[in-house]
Amino acid sequence: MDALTLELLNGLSLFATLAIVALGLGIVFGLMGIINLAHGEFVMIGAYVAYVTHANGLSHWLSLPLAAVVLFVLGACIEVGLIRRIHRRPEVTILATFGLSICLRQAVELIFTREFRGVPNPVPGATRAFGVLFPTYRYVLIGIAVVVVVVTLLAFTRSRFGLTVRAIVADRDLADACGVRTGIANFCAFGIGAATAGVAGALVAPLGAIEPQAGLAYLPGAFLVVIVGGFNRLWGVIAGALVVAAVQTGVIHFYDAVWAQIASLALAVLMLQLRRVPVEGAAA
Amino acid sequence: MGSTLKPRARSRCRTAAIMMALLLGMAAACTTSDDEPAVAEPAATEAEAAPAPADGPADDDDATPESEPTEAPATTAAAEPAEPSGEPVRIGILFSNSGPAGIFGQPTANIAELIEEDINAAGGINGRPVETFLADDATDPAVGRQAMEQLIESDGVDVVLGTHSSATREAAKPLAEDAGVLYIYAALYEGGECSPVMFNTGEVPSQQLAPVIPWMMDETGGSKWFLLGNDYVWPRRSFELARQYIEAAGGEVVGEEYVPLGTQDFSSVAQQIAGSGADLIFPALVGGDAIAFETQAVDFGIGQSAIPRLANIYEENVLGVMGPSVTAGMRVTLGYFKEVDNPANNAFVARYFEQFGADAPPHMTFSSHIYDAALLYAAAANAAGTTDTAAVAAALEGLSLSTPTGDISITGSRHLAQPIYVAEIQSDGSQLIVQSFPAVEPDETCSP
Amino acid sequence: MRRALATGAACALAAAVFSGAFGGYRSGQLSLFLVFAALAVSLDFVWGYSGILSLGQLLPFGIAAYTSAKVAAAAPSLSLPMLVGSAVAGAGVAAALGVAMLRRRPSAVVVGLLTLVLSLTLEQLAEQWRDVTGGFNGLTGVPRLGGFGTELSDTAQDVAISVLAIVAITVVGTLLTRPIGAVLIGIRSNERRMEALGYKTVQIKIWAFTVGGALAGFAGALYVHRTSFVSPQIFGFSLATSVVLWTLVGGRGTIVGPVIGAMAINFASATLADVWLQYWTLATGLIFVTVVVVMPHGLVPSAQRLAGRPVRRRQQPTLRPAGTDGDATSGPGAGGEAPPAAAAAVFEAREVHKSFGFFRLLDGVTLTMDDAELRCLIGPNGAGKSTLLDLLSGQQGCQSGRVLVLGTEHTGRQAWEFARHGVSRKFQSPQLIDDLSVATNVAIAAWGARSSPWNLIRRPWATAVPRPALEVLERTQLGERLDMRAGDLSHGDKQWLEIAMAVAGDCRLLLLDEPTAGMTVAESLEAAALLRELHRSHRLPIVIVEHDMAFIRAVADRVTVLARGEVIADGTVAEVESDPDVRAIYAGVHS
Repeated sequence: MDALTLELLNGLSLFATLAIVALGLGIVFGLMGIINLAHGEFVMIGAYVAYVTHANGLSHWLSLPLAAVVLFVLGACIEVGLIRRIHRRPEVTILATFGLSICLRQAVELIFTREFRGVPNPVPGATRAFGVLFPTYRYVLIGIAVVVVVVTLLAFTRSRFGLTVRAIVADRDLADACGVRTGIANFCAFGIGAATAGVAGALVAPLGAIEPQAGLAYLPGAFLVVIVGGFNRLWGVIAGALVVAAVQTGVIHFYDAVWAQIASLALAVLMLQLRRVPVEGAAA
Repeated sequence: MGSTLKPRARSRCRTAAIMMALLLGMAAACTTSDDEPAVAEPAATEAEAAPAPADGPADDDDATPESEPTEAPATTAAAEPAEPSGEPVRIGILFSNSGPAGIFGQPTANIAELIEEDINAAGGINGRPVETFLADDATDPAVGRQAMEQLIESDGVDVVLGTHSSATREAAKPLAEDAGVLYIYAALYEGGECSPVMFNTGEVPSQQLAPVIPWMMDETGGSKWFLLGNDYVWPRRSFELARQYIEAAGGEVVGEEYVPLGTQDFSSVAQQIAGSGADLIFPALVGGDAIAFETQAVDFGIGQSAIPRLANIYEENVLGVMGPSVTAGMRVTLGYFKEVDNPANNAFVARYFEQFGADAPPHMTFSSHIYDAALLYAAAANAAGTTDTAAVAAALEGLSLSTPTGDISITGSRHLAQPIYVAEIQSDGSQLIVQSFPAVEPDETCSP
Repeated sequence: MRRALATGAACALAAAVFSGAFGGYRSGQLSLFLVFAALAVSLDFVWGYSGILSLGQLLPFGIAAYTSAKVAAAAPSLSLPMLVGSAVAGAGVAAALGVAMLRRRPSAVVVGLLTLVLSLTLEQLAEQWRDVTGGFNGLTGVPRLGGFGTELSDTAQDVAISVLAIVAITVVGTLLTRPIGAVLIGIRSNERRMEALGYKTVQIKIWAFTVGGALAGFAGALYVHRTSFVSPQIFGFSLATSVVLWTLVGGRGTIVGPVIGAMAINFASATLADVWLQYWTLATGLIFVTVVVVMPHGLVPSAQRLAGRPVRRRQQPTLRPAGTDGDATSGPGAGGEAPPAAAAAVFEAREVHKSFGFFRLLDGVTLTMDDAELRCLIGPNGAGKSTLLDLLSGQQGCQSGRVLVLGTEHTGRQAWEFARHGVSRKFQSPQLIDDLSVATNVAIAAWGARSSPWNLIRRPWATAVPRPALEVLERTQLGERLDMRAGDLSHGDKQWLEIAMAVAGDCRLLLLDEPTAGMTVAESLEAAALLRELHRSHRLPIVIVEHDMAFIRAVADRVTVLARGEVIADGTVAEVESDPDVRAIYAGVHS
């Protein structure tokens, strides 16, 4: 019974991590039709923001808003400098953001060197709840991640800004013609997507190593979530993260981590076969 | 509309033109560097035609006391050796300077400088100076093979010293065999290598584990081991041997688990360990995986303070990131730590940080083994009086040397009998050598 | 074609001489980089020419490499014949993948992701399947190429591999100088148009993917002999993206581009990586981004453009009137007037429904054309006119109802089936192959009806074009601009070219969607005259969707009025114009 509770909690914390890491990818893809291969690097830079915050003796909690701001600015600059020129050509954006990911990785390596960095856990230890001991920071992580994901999704689906953005999703040209400023919406969508990645990076920083290559590790999981959850449906991120977390935790429990990785990749292949991606549907 | 479009189109053209110019410049750079070896090669043959005078002093060196070559050049400054001259002996170093293992690159690159300085200061090899050539395998065996090709065929090295993955070794070895170039693989590895051109001077699991596992069980009173490793050949081989030593010492293995390289979430594994009843953990995890596991393990109640660790690869950068609150008390078994306390090593480490800065990536077991391998090669080549592979290989067998690491000697199995140290992490994060086992023999057999 | 062969032969000779002259390291490098060039060309064939963004060219490459390594280890003397075997293996892998993946018409993004994910999955599996793949360390000690009891020496193998790689590249390059090359470009730049011309685009794409796979497989076998080992990283992210970089930087859609890209970048990294390690990697990223944004066509095409040379000096088809010899396509003008059998209707749409969400585009429309007449479809915006044409040409399927065309049930069939049955379609906005010349566009339309890939490799460039198409070209002066790039034509000329293409195939029913949009009044009257003449002299049934009443009065035998997805009137121009319902609708709409 306890073992089951623990696996459920594991699954939950994996779900929360996946959801917040994939959130930005889902937003940028859903709203702009852009596959952002540099998303993992945004997460990685968020973790470095947490490291710099820690190195300057500041509280870890401060790094969450800080990472959001830093990444929003970075994301917005990238949108203006790069994405804006190419965002209607999905194939080109894949290539451009891939090149961008190399640049970001190397830039971070030049600044911070290749050595591992780390952030100490701000709330070490475990809490007893539901009859089991489970790390306190993971409860915090689950809480913050769920709040960030839900608030962001609500902002996109319930607010006036969200309405504008959804108008663009429904028909970009029509929205353009109706005087909706699609440029500003793109700017914000990309910036917010990057900002959530930054928060994700800062949030997971105390759980592992911070290094320039770390972004590569986040990308497959995030993609899997978006693929499973469905393109163009923002709330799909939550469903996708649930499914992926369940599959991963289940396979690890009954088999091992290596096969869990292969199983997730197989799941991605399957879902890509089953799902229609309506990117170029409108254009073709 | 048209008028606003035109200037932009022109500026795009200009950008394209600049790009073109840059790329053409790069192509030109390629061609020049492409010509270099072609230009250098005639020069090399000329120089090789003239080593006769240079050989003279070398023979003199050999004539002086026989114990000399077995002394580390670093410690023989008093001998006032002759200034080496003539065509340099080319020492290739195949290492990982990028990709996941690239983190160990910088210390090795630093050590390459010291190798040149020290061997040349001690009179070079047979009176000839040494020159090092570095080649990066990018932690990718395909690139490693190309790098090996470059060292052997383009740089024309006399010997290759390697510190890189086993995959790269397997890919690169046939080139050394075909070319008859001596290849000293100096990285800690799983063991079992045997080839006429190869010597393997890194720690093998039998050395790291055979004496240390019983010691660890005595020290901690634990006997139920959990083995957790990344999923590739070195951890698997390590655990295979560990299992034997554990059982021989009366312990038992209560769990053995492998995770893919790059694993970030260890919660399931941590709970598995917590439920296994283990009182000792042997983690064979590398880099980021090690950091993720240890930082997460503490919160699951299976940190070092709850279940002691014996690690066989945790190095300073990784331990530093985990922080003393996580690492204090961990034991690490390796063939070298910069804290090894002997006069030669203390002087050497001081010089390292003096030369490369106090914040340089620290000298560690990988760079130390490369240094030792270079000294072994120099000593053997001096003893043989030539750089001919077969002669040097013959001289290497049974060769003993005293280096900052301690007393080392090449075994009949072409591996290295070497001291094994156990460091314990202190509460301030520093490493203290708590136990050393001198001249540990590897459990290897090889007769190529 | 002759030029491609000559270039290939010259390169092979140069490579052999170079290897002989420098030997050792340089010849080894050359052969390795040429193998990479062949891999890049295989990606270019699939991506640059056929528009399939495959990040998984390493699948056939790697699988063939492992297979060859296994075969060579078991039987070294089989390694030469195994080169062919590995091309077959690569083709097999690609064909299976293509059939599984491409039939669902996935977007470029899905193909890219899917192939990349598959490649990474295979890397994991190769690491796990230790017994067969040797696990993490891979298979080592693969012998050099050999056969019939001999093993090549090092330099001989370098020469052999260089030459074989060049031969493979040349073979594929030569394929592309055939008409199939133009068709692949057509599918890449406008798949919908190609399908409306009768090309089974999915089948051709799978074929192209297979040929690309064969080249990749061949390159994989060369690679494994060149490096004498193979490890799971052959499927890895790093090589997968490098191949894309080589192709992208060199120039997609050319053969020289990827070859130069692969050679130059590999050379640069071999030379520069040691010197400026971190900066070189950063530079790689910057080159990637810069090329994508600033010169998306890549280095070679951009250089050609800078040098003022035409971007595509492709072979141009010569057009001649059909019926002059046996090659003729049986268009309506091809002598034997092929009107539909008197008994069957030209087309018949019965109770067709089509809706998007809540919006009903067509709500139980029944419409027939019994004789070869010239019918206009009019109606306010959103009345369902274009959708009806889509149903009649197979661009869209209907949710219920039946569609019969030229006497055959066509409900639920694909666009290419309609086209092969004689339905030609001009779209509302001109759909041309912008990158190809006017003549090639017309020729592609003329080949369309019965073209398999092999057929398109063998057939000559000289093309018999039905008379109506030539008439259109002549009357609009397009005949004097046959070499011009279609994308550079004026809007009006594009309309004419598309009409010419529509009647260049086996056209027995012509569907035109707003053919006079963008034309002046004079031009549209001329268009009316031309269409009437086509209709009269070849008894060609024509359906035109149009708004311009002056044009309709000049051209139509009969007019059908659609509104809100229903037919509300049908008759001669005069009858319809006096219909009170029609007046009400138009008055209502326009006020």
